[in-house]
Amino acid sequence: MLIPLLSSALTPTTLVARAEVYSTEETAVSLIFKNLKMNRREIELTDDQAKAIEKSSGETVRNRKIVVFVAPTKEAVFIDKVIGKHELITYATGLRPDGSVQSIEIIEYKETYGSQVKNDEWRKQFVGKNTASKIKVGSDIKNISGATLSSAHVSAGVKRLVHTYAILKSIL
Amino acid sequence: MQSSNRFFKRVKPGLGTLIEISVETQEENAQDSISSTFLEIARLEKIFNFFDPDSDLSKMNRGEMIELPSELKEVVLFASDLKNLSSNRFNPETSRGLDLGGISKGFIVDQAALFLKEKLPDAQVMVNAGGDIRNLSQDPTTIELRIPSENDEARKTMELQPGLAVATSSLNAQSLCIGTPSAHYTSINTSIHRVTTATVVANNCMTADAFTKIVLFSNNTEELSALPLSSYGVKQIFAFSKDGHSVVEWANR
Repeated sequence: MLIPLLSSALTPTTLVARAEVYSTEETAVSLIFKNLKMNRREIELTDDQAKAIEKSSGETVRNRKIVVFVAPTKEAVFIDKVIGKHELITYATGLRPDGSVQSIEIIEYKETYGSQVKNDEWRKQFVGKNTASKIKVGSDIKNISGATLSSAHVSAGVKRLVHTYAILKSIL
Repeated sequence: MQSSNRFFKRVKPGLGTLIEISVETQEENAQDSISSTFLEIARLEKIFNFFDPDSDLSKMNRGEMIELPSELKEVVLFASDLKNLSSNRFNPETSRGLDLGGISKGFIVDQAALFLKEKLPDAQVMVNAGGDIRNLSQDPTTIELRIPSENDEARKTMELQPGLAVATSSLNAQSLCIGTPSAHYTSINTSIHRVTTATVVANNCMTADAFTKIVLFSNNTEELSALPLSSYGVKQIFAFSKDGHSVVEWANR
């Protein structure tokens, strides 16, 4: 039967930091647009472009360096990062030539708790960094229940990318 | 485990969180099966979307549905059963009709896992939607429960046995990824060790999901004990107060 345990406070564990790598940039691109040949490009946004994206999307452009895979027929897959309260998510967003979203794949999800998250250096290390991650197979990474994880940051990021595509499309 | 097995892990945003599908299989084309499972999740998500006026749920709430899709019917019946069972502790009724957000996430996790298992019968399958997890593999899997604490660092580990599901719900407003938080509940209790996080292990994720709400909104452990937990397939309950005290730890032996 139910046993109330009224006084057994659980001792908090030490800092938890984990990274889960789900796929590489290339795998994500090929999952989004199967059989399309796409070339990886890096584009540095100008002040005007960044401002235009912020204005039309309503989202802040944190990183001026854009990583995007482009097909000759203008399909595009952006590799982007968003930072939540406790997590950093690297994800790929595929956009069709008409600017609509084809699909989204999460490439890496890194979670951190405690003092580390307050440290700006922790956050800085992700800005402008490219993923050259290998697929992690057969790992014994634990599932977490009780997640505070929200997809809101990814949604906001996708919104920014849709407008980024609109502004960059002519030069892609 | 055979040496030719391959591991796949895919994550996509959905159900208000990130959905992770893990597969161990010898199938070469597992990615296609995983992709169609994500499409199935999107299809089901659309049926149960309380905020989408075009969803089947919204149409039902407006009285515009003559024949309910089987998935919607199943969840509505279960919700109504649990509402009675729990004396309205679990209550999906709102002024704008039924909001099934409290259990549809668990239901969709179950459906996704079964859908993928049907496509890849020999595969080990696990679906995790922000902590609502169904383990359709032949091995137990380790789950970390996030326990409320000042710095969010506390964890407890448990084993999720093959076939079973786990779900966790929390009263922290921003971490409630379960539809409209305020809609489901009629009672808040004021005991010293008020439960703010509840984890339930059950035969399926819909049951686990629903019972987390019942645990959160029960007034005391006696009230919980009086429920026919075993006959509903509830296997384990963990509940914690805001400061990380374990208030309930129960297992159906």
